[in-house]
Amino acid sequence: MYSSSMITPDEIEKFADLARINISDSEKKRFAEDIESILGYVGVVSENVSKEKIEAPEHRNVMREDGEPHKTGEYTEKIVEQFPKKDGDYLSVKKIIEQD
Amino acid sequence: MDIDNLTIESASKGLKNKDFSAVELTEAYVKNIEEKNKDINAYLEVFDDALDIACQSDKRIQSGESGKLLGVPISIKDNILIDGHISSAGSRILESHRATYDATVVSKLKERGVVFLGRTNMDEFAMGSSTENSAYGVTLNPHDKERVSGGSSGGSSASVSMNGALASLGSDTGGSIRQPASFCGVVGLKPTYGAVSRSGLIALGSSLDQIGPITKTVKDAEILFEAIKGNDKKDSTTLENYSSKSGGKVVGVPRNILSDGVDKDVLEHFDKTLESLKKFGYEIRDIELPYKPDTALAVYYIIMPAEASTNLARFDGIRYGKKVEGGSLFEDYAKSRETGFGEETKRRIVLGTYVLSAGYYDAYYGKATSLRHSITKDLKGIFESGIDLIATPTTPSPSFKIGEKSDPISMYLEDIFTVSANLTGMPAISIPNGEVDRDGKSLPVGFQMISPHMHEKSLFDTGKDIEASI
Repeated sequence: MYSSSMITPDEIEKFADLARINISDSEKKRFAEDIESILGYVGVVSENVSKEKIEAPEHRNVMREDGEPHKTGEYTEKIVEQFPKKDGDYLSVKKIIEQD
Repeated sequence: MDIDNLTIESASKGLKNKDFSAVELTEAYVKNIEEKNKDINAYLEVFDDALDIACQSDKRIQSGESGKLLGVPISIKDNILIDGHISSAGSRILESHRATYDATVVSKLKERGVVFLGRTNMDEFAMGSSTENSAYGVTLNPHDKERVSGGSSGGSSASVSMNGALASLGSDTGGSIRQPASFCGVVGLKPTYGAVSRSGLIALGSSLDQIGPITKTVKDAEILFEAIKGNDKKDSTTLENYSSKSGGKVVGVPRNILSDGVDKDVLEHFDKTLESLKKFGYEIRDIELPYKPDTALAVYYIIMPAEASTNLARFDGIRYGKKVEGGSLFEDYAKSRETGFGEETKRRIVLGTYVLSAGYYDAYYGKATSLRHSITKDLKGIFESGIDLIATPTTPSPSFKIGEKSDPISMYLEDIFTVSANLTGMPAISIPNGEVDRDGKSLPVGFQMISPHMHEKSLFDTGKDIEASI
Protein backbone atom coordinates (compact mmCIF):
# COMPACT_ATOMS: atom_id res chain seq x y z
CA MET A 1 0.00 0.00 0.00
CA TYR A 2 1.13 3.53 -0.69
CA SER A 3 2.30 4.81 2.64
CA SER A 4 1.69 8.47 2.98
CA SER A 5 4.18 10.01 5.30
CA MET A 6 2.81 11.32 8.57
CA ILE A 7 0.66 14.35 8.03
CA THR A 8 1.21 17.08 10.57
CA PRO A 9 -1.17 19.77 11.78
CA ASP A 10 1.26 22.31 10.28
CA GLU A 11 0.85 20.75 6.85
CA ILE A 12 -2.92 20.86 7.24
CA GLU A 13 -2.64 24.54 8.04
CA LYS A 14 -0.69 25.13 4.81
CA PHE A 15 -3.32 23.39 2.71
CA ALA A 16 -6.12 25.21 4.54
CA ASP A 17 -4.29 28.48 3.79
CA LEU A 18 -4.11 27.53 0.12
CA ALA A 19 -7.86 26.87 0.26
CA ARG A 20 -8.47 30.20 2.05
CA ILE A 21 -10.00 28.70 5.19
CA ASN A 22 -9.14 29.49 8.78
CA ILE A 23 -9.22 26.35 10.85
CA SER A 24 -8.92 26.00 14.60
CA ASP A 25 -6.05 24.20 16.33
CA SER A 26 -8.32 21.32 17.30
CA GLU A 27 -9.52 21.01 13.68
CA LYS A 28 -5.91 20.98 12.47
CA LYS A 29 -5.14 18.08 14.75
CA ARG A 30 -8.31 16.18 13.89
CA PHE A 31 -7.99 16.78 10.13
CA ALA A 32 -4.37 15.59 10.22
CA GLU A 33 -5.53 12.25 11.68
CA ASP A 34 -8.63 11.95 9.45
CA ILE A 35 -6.84 12.86 6.25
CA GLU A 36 -3.98 10.54 6.98
CA SER A 37 -6.39 7.65 7.40
CA ILE A 38 -8.38 8.65 4.29
CA LEU A 39 -5.16 8.85 2.26
CA GLY A 40 -4.21 5.46 3.65
CA TYR A 41 -7.47 4.10 2.24
CA VAL A 42 -7.44 5.86 -1.14
CA GLY A 43 -3.70 5.12 -1.47
CA VAL A 44 -4.83 1.74 -2.84
CA VAL A 45 -4.87 3.51 -6.24
CA SER A 46 -1.08 3.32 -6.36
CA GLU A 47 -1.23 -0.50 -6.11
CA ASN A 48 -3.35 -0.68 -9.21
CA VAL A 49 -1.20 -0.21 -12.24
CA SER A 50 -3.67 1.04 -14.77
CA LYS A 51 -2.87 0.01 -18.31
CA GLU A 52 -4.73 3.04 -19.48
CA LYS A 53 -2.71 6.02 -20.46
CA ILE A 54 -4.34 9.21 -19.30
CA GLU A 55 -5.80 9.99 -22.64
CA ALA A 56 -7.77 13.14 -23.09
CA PRO A 57 -11.48 12.39 -22.74
CA GLU A 58 -13.65 13.09 -25.72
CA HIS A 59 -13.31 16.85 -25.58
CA ARG A 60 -15.55 18.77 -27.85
CA ASN A 61 -15.95 22.43 -28.39
CA VAL A 62 -19.31 23.86 -27.54
CA MET A 63 -19.72 27.10 -29.42
CA ARG A 64 -22.53 29.58 -29.27
CA GLU A 65 -23.58 32.26 -31.69
CA ASP A 66 -22.08 35.67 -31.09
CA GLY A 67 -24.54 38.00 -29.41
CA GLU A 68 -25.99 38.80 -26.04
CA PRO A 69 -26.82 35.66 -24.03
CA HIS A 70 -29.56 37.62 -22.27
CA LYS A 71 -30.94 41.13 -22.14
CA THR A 72 -28.49 43.63 -20.64
CA GLY A 73 -29.42 44.33 -17.04
CA GLU A 74 -31.92 41.49 -16.81
CA TYR A 75 -30.34 40.04 -13.67
CA THR A 76 -28.49 43.10 -12.33
CA GLU A 77 -30.95 44.10 -9.63
CA LYS A 78 -31.27 40.57 -8.22
CA ILE A 79 -27.51 40.06 -8.21
CA VAL A 80 -26.84 43.41 -6.48
CA GLU A 81 -29.45 42.42 -3.91
CA GLN A 82 -27.24 39.45 -2.94
CA PHE A 83 -24.06 41.48 -2.25
CA PRO A 84 -23.13 40.99 1.39
CA LYS A 85 -21.57 44.45 1.50
CA LYS A 86 -22.42 47.22 -0.90
CA ASP A 87 -22.19 50.92 -1.44
CA GLY A 88 -25.26 51.79 -3.49
CA ASP A 89 -24.94 49.55 -6.54
CA TYR A 90 -21.22 49.00 -5.95
CA LEU A 91 -19.87 45.74 -4.63
CA SER A 92 -17.74 46.81 -1.73
CA VAL A 93 -14.48 44.88 -1.22
CA LYS A 94 -11.19 45.44 0.55
CA LYS A 95 -8.03 46.52 -1.22
CA ILE A 96 -6.44 43.63 -3.10
CA ILE A 97 -2.85 44.86 -2.97
CA GLU A 98 -1.68 45.83 0.47
CA GLN A 99 1.41 47.75 1.42
CA ASP A 100 3.44 46.44 4.29
CA MET B 1 -58.31 11.88 -1.69
CA ASP B 2 -55.94 9.24 -0.35
CA ILE B 3 -52.50 10.79 -0.61
CA ASP B 4 -50.85 7.73 0.95
CA ASN B 5 -51.58 5.78 -2.22
CA LEU B 6 -51.34 8.55 -4.76
CA THR B 7 -48.69 8.54 -7.51
CA ILE B 8 -47.92 11.12 -10.20
CA GLU B 9 -49.76 8.85 -12.62
CA SER B 10 -52.93 8.52 -10.52
CA ALA B 11 -52.88 12.13 -9.30
CA SER B 12 -52.73 13.47 -12.82
CA LYS B 13 -55.73 11.30 -13.74
CA GLY B 14 -57.58 12.63 -10.69
CA LEU B 15 -56.78 16.20 -11.70
CA LYS B 16 -57.85 15.60 -15.29
CA ASN B 17 -61.13 13.99 -14.20
CA LYS B 18 -61.74 16.87 -11.75
CA ASP B 19 -61.87 14.44 -8.80
CA PHE B 20 -59.86 17.11 -7.01
CA SER B 21 -58.19 20.39 -7.92
CA ALA B 22 -54.47 21.22 -7.84
CA VAL B 23 -55.19 23.59 -4.94
CA GLU B 24 -56.92 20.79 -2.98
CA LEU B 25 -54.06 18.43 -3.75
CA THR B 26 -51.45 20.96 -2.66
CA GLU B 27 -53.42 21.76 0.51
CA ALA B 28 -53.53 18.07 1.40
CA TYR B 29 -49.74 17.80 1.08
CA VAL B 30 -49.08 21.01 2.99
CA LYS B 31 -51.32 19.74 5.80
CA ASN B 32 -49.48 16.43 5.89
CA ILE B 33 -46.12 18.22 5.93
CA GLU B 34 -47.28 20.37 8.85
CA GLU B 35 -48.15 17.22 10.79
CA LYS B 36 -45.11 15.12 9.98
CA ASN B 37 -42.21 17.41 9.25
CA LYS B 38 -41.58 18.41 12.85
CA ASP B 39 -40.63 14.79 13.58
CA ILE B 40 -38.81 14.06 10.33
CA ASN B 41 -37.13 17.36 9.29
CA ALA B 42 -37.39 16.54 5.59
CA TYR B 43 -38.30 20.10 4.61
CA LEU B 44 -36.18 23.15 5.41
CA GLU B 45 -38.91 25.43 4.10
CA VAL B 46 -42.41 25.11 2.70
CA PHE B 47 -42.86 27.74 -0.01
CA ASP B 48 -45.56 30.31 0.62
CA ASP B 49 -46.28 30.61 -3.10
CA ALA B 50 -47.18 26.91 -3.55
CA LEU B 51 -50.95 27.51 -3.41
CA ASP B 52 -50.73 30.44 -5.86
CA ILE B 53 -48.92 28.21 -8.33
CA ALA B 54 -51.45 25.41 -7.78
CA CYS B 55 -54.17 27.97 -8.52
CA GLN B 56 -52.47 28.85 -11.83
CA SER B 57 -52.25 25.15 -12.69
CA ASP B 58 -55.97 24.80 -11.97
CA LYS B 59 -56.69 27.62 -14.41
CA ARG B 60 -54.62 25.83 -17.04
CA ILE B 61 -56.56 22.60 -16.40
CA GLN B 62 -59.87 24.48 -16.63
CA SER B 63 -58.84 25.98 -19.95
CA GLY B 64 -58.52 22.46 -21.32
CA GLU B 65 -54.76 22.00 -21.03
CA SER B 66 -53.56 18.58 -19.96
CA GLY B 67 -50.22 17.10 -18.99
CA LYS B 68 -48.87 14.39 -16.76
CA LEU B 69 -47.27 16.94 -14.43
CA LEU B 70 -49.82 19.75 -14.58
CA GLY B 71 -50.78 20.55 -10.97
CA VAL B 72 -48.51 17.86 -9.49
CA PRO B 73 -46.88 18.93 -6.18
CA ILE B 74 -43.24 17.95 -5.69
CA SER B 75 -40.36 18.87 -3.39
CA ILE B 76 -36.88 19.95 -4.42
CA LYS B 77 -33.42 19.48 -2.97
CA ASP B 78 -31.96 22.61 -1.41
CA ASN B 79 -29.12 22.79 -3.97
CA ILE B 80 -31.35 23.33 -7.03
CA LEU B 81 -32.18 26.99 -7.70
CA ILE B 82 -35.69 28.43 -7.90
CA ASP B 83 -35.72 32.12 -8.78
CA GLY B 84 -36.44 34.27 -5.72
CA HIS B 85 -36.33 31.40 -3.22
CA ILE B 86 -33.60 30.70 -0.72
CA SER B 87 -31.26 27.95 -1.84
CA SER B 88 -28.73 27.08 0.85
CA ALA B 89 -27.32 23.66 -0.14
CA GLY B 90 -27.68 22.69 3.53
CA SER B 91 -24.97 25.22 4.45
CA ARG B 92 -24.71 28.22 6.77
CA ILE B 93 -22.65 30.07 4.17
CA LEU B 94 -25.75 30.27 1.93
CA GLU B 95 -28.44 30.49 4.62
CA SER B 96 -29.84 33.75 3.27
CA HIS B 97 -28.84 33.24 -0.38
CA ARG B 98 -31.74 33.87 -2.75
CA ALA B 99 -31.50 32.32 -6.21
CA THR B 100 -31.32 34.89 -9.01
CA TYR B 101 -32.56 32.53 -11.72
CA ASP B 102 -34.30 29.17 -12.25
CA ALA B 103 -32.31 25.99 -12.73
CA THR B 104 -33.04 24.54 -16.18
CA VAL B 105 -34.84 21.55 -14.61
CA VAL B 106 -37.01 23.99 -12.64
CA SER B 107 -37.97 26.08 -15.66
CA LYS B 108 -38.84 22.89 -17.55
CA LEU B 109 -41.10 21.75 -14.71
CA LYS B 110 -42.66 25.21 -14.25
CA GLU B 111 -43.65 25.16 -17.93
CA ARG B 112 -45.40 21.86 -17.29
CA GLY B 113 -47.34 23.29 -14.33
CA VAL B 114 -45.52 21.49 -11.49
CA VAL B 115 -46.15 22.92 -8.01
CA PHE B 116 -42.98 23.22 -5.89
CA LEU B 117 -43.98 22.59 -2.29
CA GLY B 118 -40.68 23.44 -0.66
CA ARG B 119 -36.97 22.74 -0.39
CA THR B 120 -35.61 19.65 1.29
CA ASN B 121 -32.75 18.98 3.68
CA MET B 122 -29.40 17.60 2.54
CA ASP B 123 -25.83 17.06 3.67
CA GLU B 124 -23.96 20.34 3.28
CA PHE B 125 -23.10 20.80 -0.41
CA ALA B 126 -24.21 17.17 -0.92
CA MET B 127 -21.21 15.85 1.03
CA GLY B 128 -22.47 12.89 3.00
CA SER B 129 -24.64 9.80 3.16
CA SER B 130 -26.95 10.59 6.08
CA THR B 131 -27.87 14.34 6.14
CA GLU B 132 -25.96 14.45 9.44
CA ASN B 133 -23.67 16.99 7.74
CA SER B 134 -26.54 19.43 7.16
CA ALA B 135 -26.23 22.74 9.02
CA TYR B 136 -29.95 22.41 9.76
CA GLY B 137 -30.07 19.08 11.59
CA VAL B 138 -30.50 15.49 10.48
CA THR B 139 -33.50 14.18 8.52
CA LEU B 140 -34.97 11.19 10.33
CA ASN B 141 -36.02 8.06 8.51
CA PRO B 142 -39.85 7.85 8.30
CA HIS B 143 -39.54 4.05 8.81
CA ASP B 144 -37.56 4.38 12.07
CA LYS B 145 -36.93 7.74 13.68
CA GLU B 146 -33.75 6.54 15.38
CA ARG B 147 -32.19 6.07 11.97
CA VAL B 148 -31.01 8.32 9.16
CA SER B 149 -32.85 8.89 5.90
CA GLY B 150 -29.60 8.48 3.98
CA GLY B 151 -27.96 11.17 1.95
CA SER B 152 -27.17 13.43 0.60
CA SER B 153 -30.72 13.70 -0.86
CA GLY B 154 -32.15 12.47 2.46
CA GLY B 155 -34.74 15.24 2.79
CA SER B 156 -36.00 14.61 -0.74
CA SER B 157 -36.33 10.85 -0.17
CA ALA B 158 -37.97 11.27 3.24
CA SER B 159 -40.41 13.86 1.85
CA VAL B 160 -41.71 11.29 -0.67
CA SER B 161 -41.61 8.42 1.81
CA MET B 162 -43.67 10.32 4.42
CA ASN B 163 -46.19 11.35 1.72
CA GLY B 164 -45.09 14.96 2.01
CA ALA B 165 -44.72 15.19 -1.78
CA LEU B 166 -45.68 13.12 -4.81
CA ALA B 167 -42.07 13.13 -5.96
CA SER B 168 -38.83 15.04 -5.57
CA LEU B 169 -35.72 16.10 -7.43
CA GLY B 170 -32.36 15.18 -5.96
CA SER B 171 -28.76 15.18 -7.13
CA ASP B 172 -26.38 12.22 -7.25
CA THR B 173 -22.58 12.56 -7.22
CA GLY B 174 -21.64 9.15 -5.77
CA GLY B 175 -24.98 7.66 -4.74
CA SER B 176 -26.81 10.64 -3.25
CA ILE B 177 -30.13 9.81 -4.94
CA ARG B 178 -29.98 6.01 -4.87
CA GLN B 179 -28.75 5.41 -1.30
CA PRO B 180 -31.40 7.58 0.45
CA ALA B 181 -34.07 6.25 -1.92
CA SER B 182 -33.06 2.76 -0.83
CA PHE B 183 -33.13 3.71 2.88
CA CYS B 184 -36.56 5.35 2.58
CA GLY B 185 -38.23 2.73 0.37
CA VAL B 186 -38.68 4.86 -2.75
CA VAL B 187 -37.39 4.82 -6.35
CA GLY B 188 -34.30 6.90 -7.24
CA LEU B 189 -32.69 7.40 -10.65
CA LYS B 190 -29.19 8.70 -11.42
CA PRO B 191 -29.41 9.49 -15.15
CA THR B 192 -26.64 9.19 -17.76
CA TYR B 193 -24.03 11.93 -17.38
CA GLY B 194 -25.16 14.65 -19.77
CA ALA B 195 -28.80 13.54 -20.00
CA VAL B 196 -30.06 16.28 -17.65
CA SER B 197 -28.83 19.89 -17.48
CA ARG B 198 -27.05 20.97 -14.30
CA SER B 199 -27.51 24.68 -14.96
CA GLY B 200 -28.71 26.00 -11.59
CA LEU B 201 -27.46 23.03 -9.56
CA ILE B 202 -24.94 24.07 -6.88
CA ALA B 203 -21.95 22.01 -8.02
CA LEU B 204 -20.10 19.40 -5.95
CA GLY B 205 -18.11 17.25 -8.39
CA SER B 206 -18.76 18.53 -11.88
CA SER B 207 -17.60 15.41 -13.73
CA LEU B 208 -19.91 13.28 -11.54
CA ASP B 209 -23.05 15.28 -10.62
CA GLN B 210 -26.46 14.54 -12.15
CA ILE B 211 -29.96 15.68 -11.19
CA GLY B 212 -32.56 12.92 -11.05
CA PRO B 213 -36.04 11.99 -9.83
CA ILE B 214 -37.05 10.39 -6.52
CA THR B 215 -40.53 8.88 -6.76
CA LYS B 216 -42.87 6.21 -5.46
CA THR B 217 -42.96 4.18 -8.67
CA VAL B 218 -40.72 3.46 -11.64
CA LYS B 219 -43.36 4.88 -13.98
CA ASP B 220 -43.31 8.17 -12.03
CA ALA B 221 -39.50 8.30 -12.27
CA GLU B 222 -39.84 7.86 -16.03
CA ILE B 223 -42.43 10.67 -16.28
CA LEU B 224 -40.24 13.08 -14.32
CA PHE B 225 -37.04 12.08 -16.13
CA GLU B 226 -38.69 12.57 -19.55
CA ALA B 227 -39.71 16.07 -18.44
CA ILE B 228 -36.27 17.23 -17.23
CA LYS B 229 -33.90 15.59 -19.72
CA GLY B 230 -32.48 17.20 -22.81
CA ASN B 231 -29.73 19.31 -24.30
CA ASP B 232 -29.27 22.75 -22.76
CA LYS B 233 -27.10 25.52 -24.09
CA LYS B 234 -26.50 26.61 -20.48
CA ASP B 235 -24.77 23.29 -19.67
CA SER B 236 -22.17 22.39 -22.28
CA THR B 237 -21.87 18.85 -20.89
CA THR B 238 -25.43 17.96 -21.91
CA LEU B 239 -25.61 15.45 -24.75
CA GLU B 240 -26.78 16.69 -28.12
CA ASN B 241 -28.16 13.41 -29.33
CA TYR B 242 -29.63 11.85 -26.21
CA SER B 243 -32.36 9.29 -26.81
CA SER B 244 -33.42 6.77 -24.20
CA LYS B 245 -32.72 3.21 -25.34
CA SER B 246 -34.17 -0.08 -24.20
CA GLY B 247 -32.10 -3.21 -23.82
CA GLY B 248 -32.25 -6.98 -23.50
CA LYS B 249 -32.99 -9.25 -20.59
CA VAL B 250 -29.58 -10.53 -19.51
CA VAL B 251 -28.78 -9.43 -15.95
CA GLY B 252 -25.17 -9.72 -14.80
CA VAL B 253 -24.51 -10.27 -11.09
CA PRO B 254 -20.96 -9.60 -9.83
CA ARG B 255 -20.93 -12.41 -7.27
CA ASN B 256 -17.27 -11.84 -6.44
CA ILE B 257 -18.06 -8.53 -4.74
CA LEU B 258 -21.23 -9.68 -2.95
CA SER B 259 -19.72 -12.56 -0.98
CA ASP B 260 -18.24 -10.30 1.65
CA GLY B 261 -19.73 -7.42 3.63
CA VAL B 262 -23.34 -7.58 2.47
CA ASP B 263 -25.94 -8.33 5.20
CA LYS B 264 -27.32 -11.86 4.86
CA ASP B 265 -30.99 -10.83 4.71
CA VAL B 266 -30.22 -8.00 2.24
CA LEU B 267 -28.61 -10.59 -0.03
CA GLU B 268 -31.59 -12.94 0.40
CA HIS B 269 -33.99 -10.24 -0.78
CA PHE B 270 -31.70 -9.50 -3.69
CA ASP B 271 -31.52 -13.18 -4.72
CA LYS B 272 -35.27 -13.60 -4.38
CA THR B 273 -35.87 -10.71 -6.78
CA LEU B 274 -33.37 -12.14 -9.27
CA GLU B 275 -35.20 -15.45 -9.06
CA SER B 276 -38.57 -13.83 -9.75
CA LEU B 277 -37.12 -11.93 -12.72
CA LYS B 278 -36.53 -15.30 -14.39
CA LYS B 279 -40.32 -15.71 -14.58
CA PHE B 280 -40.40 -12.55 -16.68
CA GLY B 281 -37.98 -14.10 -19.18
CA TYR B 282 -34.75 -12.71 -17.76
CA GLU B 283 -31.50 -14.62 -17.82
CA ILE B 284 -29.36 -14.16 -14.70
CA ARG B 285 -25.65 -14.59 -15.33
CA ASP B 286 -22.76 -14.46 -12.88
CA ILE B 287 -20.09 -12.00 -13.93
CA GLU B 288 -16.78 -10.98 -12.49
CA LEU B 289 -15.93 -7.32 -12.07
CA PRO B 290 -12.32 -6.86 -13.17
CA TYR B 291 -11.77 -4.21 -10.52
CA LYS B 292 -12.38 -4.29 -6.79
CA PRO B 293 -15.20 -2.05 -5.52
CA ASP B 294 -12.67 -0.68 -3.00
CA THR B 295 -10.64 0.64 -5.91
CA ALA B 296 -13.64 2.43 -7.41
CA LEU B 297 -14.41 3.97 -4.03
CA ALA B 298 -10.79 5.09 -3.60
CA VAL B 299 -10.80 6.68 -7.07
CA TYR B 300 -14.06 8.43 -6.22
CA TYR B 301 -12.79 9.78 -2.89
CA ILE B 302 -9.84 11.39 -4.70
CA ILE B 303 -11.66 12.85 -7.71
CA MET B 304 -14.73 14.14 -5.83
CA PRO B 305 -12.88 16.15 -3.13
CA ALA B 306 -10.50 17.49 -5.78
CA GLU B 307 -13.44 18.81 -7.79
CA ALA B 308 -15.26 19.96 -4.64
CA SER B 309 -12.27 21.99 -3.48
CA THR B 310 -12.23 23.90 -6.76
CA ASN B 311 -16.01 24.24 -7.06
CA LEU B 312 -16.36 25.55 -3.51
CA ALA B 313 -13.70 28.23 -4.06
CA ARG B 314 -16.52 30.47 -5.29
CA PHE B 315 -17.98 30.81 -1.78
CA ASP B 316 -15.85 33.65 -0.50
CA GLY B 317 -18.21 36.08 1.24
CA ILE B 318 -17.75 38.66 -1.49
CA ARG B 319 -20.54 38.40 -4.05
CA TYR B 320 -23.21 36.45 -2.16
CA GLY B 321 -23.61 34.37 0.96
CA LYS B 322 -22.28 34.88 4.46
CA LYS B 323 -19.56 37.46 4.99
CA VAL B 324 -17.40 37.76 8.08
CA GLU B 325 -15.16 40.82 8.14
CA GLY B 326 -11.44 40.43 8.75
CA GLY B 327 -8.47 42.77 8.70
CA SER B 328 -7.61 42.10 5.05
CA LEU B 329 -9.13 40.65 1.91
CA PHE B 330 -7.50 37.30 2.69
CA GLU B 331 -9.00 37.33 6.16
CA ASP B 332 -12.42 38.19 4.76
CA TYR B 333 -12.22 35.02 2.66
CA ALA B 334 -10.72 32.84 5.36
CA LYS B 335 -13.11 33.94 8.12
CA SER B 336 -16.22 33.81 5.95
CA ARG B 337 -15.30 30.27 4.91
CA GLU B 338 -14.36 29.25 8.45
CA THR B 339 -17.71 30.40 9.81
CA GLY B 340 -19.84 29.39 6.84
CA PHE B 341 -18.60 25.84 6.17
CA GLY B 342 -19.20 22.80 8.37
CA GLU B 343 -16.56 20.29 9.36
CA GLU B 344 -16.98 17.68 6.59
CA THR B 345 -16.94 20.43 3.94
CA LYS B 346 -13.70 21.84 5.33
CA ARG B 347 -12.22 18.35 5.56
CA ARG B 348 -13.00 17.60 1.91
CA ILE B 349 -11.74 20.98 0.72
CA VAL B 350 -8.42 20.43 2.52
CA LEU B 351 -8.24 16.83 1.22
CA GLY B 352 -9.00 18.01 -2.33
CA THR B 353 -6.36 20.71 -2.07
CA TYR B 354 -3.89 18.07 -0.86
CA VAL B 355 -4.45 15.60 -3.72
CA LEU B 356 -4.21 18.38 -6.30
CA SER B 357 -1.04 19.94 -4.85
CA ALA B 358 2.14 19.70 -6.93
CA GLY B 359 3.88 17.21 -4.64
CA TYR B 360 1.01 14.69 -4.48
CA TYR B 361 -0.84 15.19 -7.77
CA ASP B 362 0.76 12.24 -9.58
CA ALA B 363 0.38 9.85 -6.66
CA TYR B 364 -3.31 10.56 -6.15
CA TYR B 365 -5.23 12.62 -8.69
CA GLY B 366 -3.18 11.45 -11.68
CA LYS B 367 -3.50 7.77 -10.71
CA ALA B 368 -7.20 8.14 -9.94
CA THR B 369 -7.94 9.74 -13.32
CA SER B 370 -6.14 6.94 -15.10
CA LEU B 371 -7.95 4.26 -13.10
CA ARG B 372 -11.26 5.96 -13.78
CA HIS B 373 -10.63 5.39 -17.51
CA SER B 374 -9.84 1.73 -16.96
CA ILE B 375 -12.97 1.21 -14.79
CA THR B 376 -15.06 2.76 -17.56
CA LYS B 377 -13.48 0.44 -20.14
CA ASP B 378 -14.05 -2.55 -17.84
CA LEU B 379 -17.78 -1.81 -17.45
CA LYS B 380 -18.19 -1.10 -21.15
CA GLY B 381 -16.47 -4.42 -21.82
CA ILE B 382 -19.00 -6.25 -19.63
CA PHE B 383 -21.91 -4.64 -21.48
CA GLU B 384 -20.33 -5.47 -24.84
CA SER B 385 -20.01 -9.12 -23.79
CA GLY B 386 -23.80 -9.61 -23.90
CA ILE B 387 -24.81 -8.31 -20.47
CA ASP B 388 -27.67 -5.77 -20.54
CA LEU B 389 -27.83 -4.74 -16.88
CA ILE B 390 -25.57 -5.11 -13.85
CA ALA B 391 -27.45 -5.72 -10.60
CA THR B 392 -26.34 -5.36 -6.97
CA PRO B 393 -28.04 -4.36 -3.74
CA THR B 394 -28.02 -0.53 -3.60
CA THR B 395 -26.20 -0.63 -0.25
CA PRO B 396 -24.76 -3.53 1.78
CA SER B 397 -27.09 -2.78 4.73
CA PRO B 398 -30.33 -0.93 5.50
CA SER B 399 -30.38 2.49 7.18
CA PHE B 400 -28.05 2.97 10.14
CA LYS B 401 -28.61 4.73 13.44
CA ILE B 402 -27.98 8.43 13.87
CA GLY B 403 -24.41 8.93 15.07
CA GLU B 404 -23.45 5.32 14.28
CA LYS B 405 -20.88 6.15 11.61
CA SER B 406 -18.73 8.74 13.24
CA ASP B 407 -15.47 8.25 11.36
CA PRO B 408 -15.29 9.50 7.75
CA ILE B 409 -14.25 6.20 6.14
CA SER B 410 -17.13 4.13 7.54
CA MET B 411 -19.47 6.76 6.09
CA TYR B 412 -17.66 6.74 2.74
CA LEU B 413 -18.13 2.95 2.53
CA GLU B 414 -21.88 3.60 2.13
CA ASP B 415 -21.13 4.46 -1.51
CA ILE B 416 -19.34 1.18 -2.31
CA PHE B 417 -21.92 -0.09 -4.87
CA THR B 418 -23.08 3.27 -6.18
CA VAL B 419 -19.93 5.21 -7.18
CA SER B 420 -19.15 3.15 -10.30
CA ALA B 421 -22.13 4.62 -12.15
CA ASN B 422 -20.90 8.15 -11.44
CA LEU B 423 -17.28 7.41 -12.35
CA THR B 424 -18.35 5.92 -15.69
CA GLY B 425 -21.27 8.30 -16.40
CA MET B 426 -23.66 5.36 -16.74
CA PRO B 427 -27.28 5.53 -15.56
CA ALA B 428 -28.41 3.57 -12.48
CA ILE B 429 -31.63 3.13 -10.56
CA SER B 430 -32.55 1.97 -7.05
CA ILE B 431 -35.88 0.20 -6.66
CA PRO B 432 -37.55 -0.76 -3.35
CA ASN B 433 -36.83 -4.43 -2.72
CA GLY B 434 -38.79 -5.35 0.38
CA GLU B 435 -37.90 -4.82 4.01
CA VAL B 436 -35.60 -6.38 6.57
CA ASP B 437 -36.01 -6.45 10.32
CA ARG B 438 -33.66 -4.50 12.62
CA ASP B 439 -34.46 -4.05 16.33
CA GLY B 440 -38.12 -4.79 15.72
CA LYS B 441 -38.48 -2.23 12.93
CA SER B 442 -38.99 -3.00 9.25
CA LEU B 443 -36.43 -1.17 7.14
CA PRO B 444 -36.51 -0.90 3.35
CA VAL B 445 -33.68 -2.14 1.15
CA GLY B 446 -32.96 -1.31 -2.48
CA PHE B 447 -32.16 -3.21 -5.69
CA GLN B 448 -29.73 -1.35 -7.93
CA MET B 449 -29.26 -1.75 -11.67
CA ILE B 450 -26.67 -0.08 -13.88
CA SER B 451 -27.15 0.03 -17.65
CA PRO B 452 -25.00 1.27 -20.55
CA HIS B 453 -24.97 5.00 -21.39
CA MET B 454 -28.38 6.35 -22.44
CA HIS B 455 -30.17 3.08 -21.61
CA GLU B 456 -32.58 4.63 -19.11
CA LYS B 457 -35.48 2.92 -20.91
CA SER B 458 -33.88 -0.41 -20.11
CA LEU B 459 -33.79 0.51 -16.39
CA PHE B 460 -37.44 1.59 -16.46
CA ASP B 461 -38.62 -1.55 -18.31
CA THR B 462 -36.85 -3.95 -15.95
CA GLY B 463 -37.74 -1.78 -12.96
CA LYS B 464 -41.43 -2.17 -13.77
CA ASP B 465 -40.98 -5.94 -13.99
CA ILE B 466 -39.36 -5.89 -10.54
CA GLU B 467 -42.25 -3.88 -9.12
CA ALA B 468 -44.68 -6.37 -10.62
CA SER B 469 -42.77 -9.29 -9.10
CA ILE B 470 -42.67 -7.99 -5.50
